[in-house]
Amino acid sequence: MNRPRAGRAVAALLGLSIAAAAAGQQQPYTPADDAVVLEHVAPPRAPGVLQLNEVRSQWTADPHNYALALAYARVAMNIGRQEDDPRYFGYAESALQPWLQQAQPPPEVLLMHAGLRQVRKDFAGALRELDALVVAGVPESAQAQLARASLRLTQGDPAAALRDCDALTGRVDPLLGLTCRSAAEGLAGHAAASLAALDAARGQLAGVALPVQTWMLSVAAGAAERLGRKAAARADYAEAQRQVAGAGTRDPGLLAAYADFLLQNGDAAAAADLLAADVRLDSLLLRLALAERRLGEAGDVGLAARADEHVRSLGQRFAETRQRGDALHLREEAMYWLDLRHDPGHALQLAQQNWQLQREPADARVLLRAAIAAAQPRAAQPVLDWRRRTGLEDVVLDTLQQQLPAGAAQ
Amino acid sequence: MKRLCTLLLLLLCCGAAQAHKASTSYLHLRLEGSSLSGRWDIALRDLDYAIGLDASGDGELSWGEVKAARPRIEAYALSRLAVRADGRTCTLAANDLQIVEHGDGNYAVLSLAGRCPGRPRTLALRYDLLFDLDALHLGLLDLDFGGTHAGLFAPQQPELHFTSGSQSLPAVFGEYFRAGLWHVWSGLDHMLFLAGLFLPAVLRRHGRTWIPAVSLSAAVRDTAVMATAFTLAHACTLSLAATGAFTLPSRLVECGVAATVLFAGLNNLVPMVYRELYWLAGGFGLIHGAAIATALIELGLPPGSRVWALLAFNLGVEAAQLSVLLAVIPPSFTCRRSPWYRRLVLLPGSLLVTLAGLAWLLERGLGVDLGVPLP
Repeated sequence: MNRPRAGRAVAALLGLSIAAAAAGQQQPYTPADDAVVLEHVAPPRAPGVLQLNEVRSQWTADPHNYALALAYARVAMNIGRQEDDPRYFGYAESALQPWLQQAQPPPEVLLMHAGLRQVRKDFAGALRELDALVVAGVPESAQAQLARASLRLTQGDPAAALRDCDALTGRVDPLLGLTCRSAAEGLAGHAAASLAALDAARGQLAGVALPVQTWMLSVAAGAAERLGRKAAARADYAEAQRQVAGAGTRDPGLLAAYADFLLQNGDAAAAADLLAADVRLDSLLLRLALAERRLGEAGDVGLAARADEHVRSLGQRFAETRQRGDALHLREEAMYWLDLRHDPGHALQLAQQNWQLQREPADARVLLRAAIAAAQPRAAQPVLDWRRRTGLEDVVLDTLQQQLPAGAAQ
Repeated sequence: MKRLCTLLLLLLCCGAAQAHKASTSYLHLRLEGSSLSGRWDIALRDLDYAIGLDASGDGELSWGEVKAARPRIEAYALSRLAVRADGRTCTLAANDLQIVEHGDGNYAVLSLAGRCPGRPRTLALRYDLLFDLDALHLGLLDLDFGGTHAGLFAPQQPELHFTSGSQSLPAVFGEYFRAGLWHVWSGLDHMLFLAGLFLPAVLRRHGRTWIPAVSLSAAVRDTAVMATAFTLAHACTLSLAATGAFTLPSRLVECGVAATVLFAGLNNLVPMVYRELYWLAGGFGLIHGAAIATALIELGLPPGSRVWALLAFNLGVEAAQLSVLLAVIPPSFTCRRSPWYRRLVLLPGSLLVTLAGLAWLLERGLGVDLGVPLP
């Protein structure tokens, strides 16, 4: 049994509802009341698509039916993305199994499988499948090329991404092609031009499918943020979030980026408001705990207690994920150890591991911050080299680099 | 276009954060001797997805709904786990259902209990929970089997094999020798049977009367031969039954044992067999061996050193019998000429043995409770 913590006692006194109050005790118990709710199991509704239970029951009745399996896998993947929950990716992969085991899986299946590999951070495997699809000259090749561009961006290689985006000209919706190029150029030293191109296209946004709109706005917000245009960045993040929420869905990546922006700019209260309902998603719970911790330090006792609870819950989740042998969220784990557990040495190790895998501006920031906090400026060198190579503009990284001792920075 | 976009979105925006634990169950198993126990934590979300626990359909799982589904939960879970010991199937049952909270929600906690044949050296675990539904599901195993073992069940690896930390030969020998000793010393039926045989050892039947044995060495030799005949016969059936060569209905065997006790006592009161008693002892040894086999099967035999374990157990039984004999014969030899020996020791003792044998025979044979504690 855990000794009740002071934080928990305070929280209880304040009557706060803390879902994770009993977490971590690992002591089985028998609930006293039949009516106590132990779990929420309703599958989240993905707008505009068939509902999970419907497609699943059709698939269950005929699991070797290609169309039904694909439909089920698609809905599951959609919800998985919305919920940031690998269970749904697991369902999708199970449904695709019979075709994945074929010597030549259908291109549609391969494309989805590449997406599944990508979400579990098997970038090398995803790239192999996408490469094969791109050269196969099948109808899925354009999508594969777009997916490969996005993967290159995640890996911090905007030049390679740009080549893929350019190859898409005339093969996909012009706005999608523009967004792809802008995303790549925005990370390759042309953020202002990229932003201008996106601004010029804003008039065509109405009537475009929601995912494309969201992507455009996110790319614009990110570029504005790195250029130090805070007001523009905030407006685009807010607009993207407003559209996603208006459609009754959720984009965890957008929420995380928006929350990071708010936290970076000292608006912890807005970040806490933004994420208040997202405690189930580890990546968002992390940002929520960060916001609550800051507000707690500013004097809000109730939020300080909540932050403690959330930090403990996150610790358990990271530990349990590691137990599985997964290291899916090294960036978040590094942030957790750096900002919430104040162990820069451990955070730096994680940030370095993460850097081997993915290289987005946010990954660079956490590695730099950890290197500075751990007083190991040499560890920042790969980020500095990468910036020189790509030409990435980022006012936040600039500020961080100024904190490095002179000499180490160059 | 719409479908393209949703797919694109999925492919494009993954860079942010894929941060959530995939479906995982936690299985703790412990094998001690042949007894299996354990705990299995399975996420309520997973159980609901697999077999549907939300009876009310409101998207909220209450404890009442989980409790009501307990038989289905147990049947589902147990159908997805198989334990084999040295190639033979172990039984496994769930005997309690509780709740525990993990990082990603509440889990059902199944308490497991079971039994494996023998004392296995190898364990094979087959785990199929959720693999058909969720390709990312993993089962984390924590096994206590002659040391701690960790394991991971995955769709590509649903079966795991473990070998017990093997015991040294002297350790096996010592353990089974002690078990043999203790089996005799603590077994009331065994001791009474021996008493029935040994009580008249210092006397010899002559016509209708008892005459004292001439020499101590002759008395000890006669009883030792008898005890050894008993042990040899006993070793035969015990070894055969313990290695699974044959099985007899336990009730039949227990009645047989009771009958031998009854006969041994009665034979002292109304002599029926009084020459070459070792034949009788040998015959009865066969029956007792079959009975003791049950005890040895429960203890289990270490596969690598079965012969040693059997030998050690039988030698333990023999040593215990000889120890009883050496404790009883010298004092009774000294008193053998006294008429009191017959009146106060032989007759009451044999009467006690007879009555106990009779009571056990009735209790075991007819299933009635006479209040005589069964051994």
